[in-house]
Amino acid sequence: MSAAALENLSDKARVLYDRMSDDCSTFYETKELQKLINIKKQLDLVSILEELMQFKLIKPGKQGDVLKFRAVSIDDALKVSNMTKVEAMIYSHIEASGREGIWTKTIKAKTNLHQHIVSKALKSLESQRYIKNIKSVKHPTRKIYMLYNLQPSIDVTGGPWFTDNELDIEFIQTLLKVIWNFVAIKTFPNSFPDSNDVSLNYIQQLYPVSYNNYPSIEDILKFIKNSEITEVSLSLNDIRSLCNELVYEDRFEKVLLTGNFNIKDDNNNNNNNNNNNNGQEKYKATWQSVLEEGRGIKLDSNAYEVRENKFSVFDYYSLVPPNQADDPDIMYLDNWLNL
Amino acid sequence: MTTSASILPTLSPQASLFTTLVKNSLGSNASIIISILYSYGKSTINFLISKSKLNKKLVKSILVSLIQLSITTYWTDESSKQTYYFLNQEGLLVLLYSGDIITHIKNYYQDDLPAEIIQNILNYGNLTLDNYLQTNMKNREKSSLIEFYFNKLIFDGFLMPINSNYFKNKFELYDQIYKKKLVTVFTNKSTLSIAKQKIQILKETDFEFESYFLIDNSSIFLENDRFMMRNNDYNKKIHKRINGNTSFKFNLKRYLKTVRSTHLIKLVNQYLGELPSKIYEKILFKVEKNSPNCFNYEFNNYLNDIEFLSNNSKIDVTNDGSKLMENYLNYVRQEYEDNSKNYFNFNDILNLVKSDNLDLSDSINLNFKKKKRQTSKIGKNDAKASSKRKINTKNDGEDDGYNDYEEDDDDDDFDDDFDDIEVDGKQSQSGLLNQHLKILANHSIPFLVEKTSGKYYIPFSKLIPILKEKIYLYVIKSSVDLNCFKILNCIICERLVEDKRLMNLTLIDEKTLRICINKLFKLQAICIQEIPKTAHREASREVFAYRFNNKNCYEILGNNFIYESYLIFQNLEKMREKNSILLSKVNRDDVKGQEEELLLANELNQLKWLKERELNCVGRINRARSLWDVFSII
Repeated sequence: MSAAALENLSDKARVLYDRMSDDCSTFYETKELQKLINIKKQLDLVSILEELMQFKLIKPGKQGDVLKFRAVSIDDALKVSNMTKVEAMIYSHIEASGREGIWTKTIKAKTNLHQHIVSKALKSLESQRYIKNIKSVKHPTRKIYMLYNLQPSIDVTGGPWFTDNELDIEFIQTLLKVIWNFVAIKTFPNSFPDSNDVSLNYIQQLYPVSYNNYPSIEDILKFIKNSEITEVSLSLNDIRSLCNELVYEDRFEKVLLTGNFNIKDDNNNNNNNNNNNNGQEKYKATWQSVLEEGRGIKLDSNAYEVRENKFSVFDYYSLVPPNQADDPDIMYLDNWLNL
Repeated sequence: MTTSASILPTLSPQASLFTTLVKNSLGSNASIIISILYSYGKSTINFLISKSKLNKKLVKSILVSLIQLSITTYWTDESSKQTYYFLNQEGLLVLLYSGDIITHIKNYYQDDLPAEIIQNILNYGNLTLDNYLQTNMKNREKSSLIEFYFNKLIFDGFLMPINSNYFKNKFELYDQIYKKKLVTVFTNKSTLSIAKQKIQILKETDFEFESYFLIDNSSIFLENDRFMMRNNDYNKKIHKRINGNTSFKFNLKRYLKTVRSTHLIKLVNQYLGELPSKIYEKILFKVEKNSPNCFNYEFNNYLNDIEFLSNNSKIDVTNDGSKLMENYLNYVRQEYEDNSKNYFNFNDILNLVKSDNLDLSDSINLNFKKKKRQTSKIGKNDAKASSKRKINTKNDGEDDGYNDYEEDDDDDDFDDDFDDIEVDGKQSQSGLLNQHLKILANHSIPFLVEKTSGKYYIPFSKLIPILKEKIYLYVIKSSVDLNCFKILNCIICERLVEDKRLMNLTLIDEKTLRICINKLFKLQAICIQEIPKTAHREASREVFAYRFNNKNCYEILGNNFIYESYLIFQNLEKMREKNSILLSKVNRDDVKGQEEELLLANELNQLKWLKERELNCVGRINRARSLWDVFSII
């Protein structure tokens, strides 16, 4: 079928198709269709719709309990009309699944066809580049198909954190490290010297309580983009999830707006957090994370008196030696539980 | 539906550790009595004799020593005239902490004498000044120095005067007063409602209960008698003469406050750094004495009483008894909450900072507007190290992106805030301290609360749960896995979170997540909550959510630390038994000090190894105990 096929249509059917095809994504109710071509009798409309359906130029659909129709582009109609009935049926299901894709088992269940026939039809459609096979992050073992010209949704691909359907831990870790460095430098002035000159006395400094130039999510995103560290396009939400990740690692903490925070009023605190939307929430690094990275150690031992060195689990990175398997006095966390 | 990982082991780790401790310090007979009291609770002397198979005289003398050391308490029932003996956690804790207590006192006063006084008091349980001075009658100067330090120790709260009621069981005493009040109030025909009458009874009970332990100043000090230290090394302040007949004992509650302070200082050090932790140390030094007692210690102590009572048919713990216990615990809780607001002024801390020469200069950065932006290649280098195609490595020029970040120019609003810090271009100590206090008060962890301008208090009741949570998380981080730490922290932040969301939030793959969840579940750090999606709870469609099991995970970890300490004690004992010949040789008077000459080379090596292992073990026990402090004591 080609454009010439339109010529075989009745005048009214052609007019209706022309008007409907202005926007192929819009669904029309029967009353709207009657208005489009100025006919009053519903029976007349039915015959026109049957005619268009025969040439696969419209597609029925249901919204709630209302039956609606939408135009199909001539190319698509041509494509479908060239397919076998089985192929067309499977194609319609795949098309309906949109950017989420559809699992072969679901196709089989919906069409009630034999596995062999479904596989053959899928192979044929795939070879004609009407559909493509995609891999889902959520269900890596499933064979999922979607229309060839569509891009799979983030739910299927997993977003920027997935490469070849696997969580790209190295990529995430690298970005985390870069973001942490960026924020830590802005949080603790003087803790990241440019050189390792031991003659310089790096005293830990803090910003005053009213300082609020800690980096926001927008700043971090801007920094990542400007530094061209990655070609992957990241959104504010992606940066937010990386920052949250650092909060869970106790390397970041959310900046509370000074003056509004008061422990007596927990609601205020919650409201502050909720209002920090649209990339405006700010983060600062924890001092512990600076120490764990081997930084922030004061080089001048005379700056403060020597602390009484009492054990703290927070110093685990520098104090607790790894236990040896042959150590007779080794301590376990679950010995008592396993009694 | 919430699922718990496994049934808790029934063996009490505290019982194991404390029995071993008593065995090492007071001998095996005393440990037998302790173990009976642990197993059966409240016991009569006949019961102790029958269970211990020791003779009456010996049991009596052991009980006298144990009561003196506050390891047991007693109670004579008025109706039956029967005397019962109870285990008292206080004395056992003093045994456990004794070494640390002496070191702390020595460091606190920077002198050996107060530590010596405390050591003697710990040895005897309690002492009067006259008893203490009897040994130093000839040396007048030392006697006045001892009295001076007694004064100081009383003033700082490390020594407390006691009367005979301190050796009685507190809960039984409370119970007796309560019941007497109950009878008196209900027999007097009052027009008050029953609820109001009950409140009245409780108030009167609390008042009378407190009066049993009150010792007024006139019995502690001789009012009209003063003395002044002549030694130039000490303050020339006039001190009151202490009543030589009043008994004093070591105040464990006061010491436990210092244990709590140490952990809080470490928490500040972790989140804000060394200098803020130093300032916080000064604040705690100022408020520690009058701060609330450690709630857990109080709570656990009374729970022990309740446990003992549950073994006794006299009080039905399920009915009236449970209400009484609840009231009693509320009394303790109320006391804790009410005292939590102990205020201090900015000037108090400024004076302490100045007197200790704590240098705050340059600790607050005010040059952020003018400052040349710091650059670092760390981030870029990290990025270059990655081999993944997603990371660009081609751009290795000067422009590494750290420079591109432009700070907002809206700092003018804050200029006024810094006026008190910079005076004539120099940073003032008071301005800097003010900023440090404000930083502590505005942190997400409420280290301080500013009530009014320049007036602060430490919200202990809010801080301690945070401290426990953080320390628990860091135990997981240091001993289990970083991913477990991350997952647990995420669960705590989200409160209730299911699998898929947890995976998205923590960016951990499914397999690792399941392994970590399994580890956390085994440690009972998390609870699993079933969320049925269908009416018939189809297994395949069910979702499981996780939440932090803070109800018992601290107790489990605390118990585990105590059990591990007990095992190490056992190891030490075995090791000493195994090398008893060598150790007895070393302890001989003719060998002492001449080990290198009189011992063989292999014996010297063995001795060195023994001492190293012993030191290692003691270190480990102390570390485990310091973590147990957080979960069970403070």
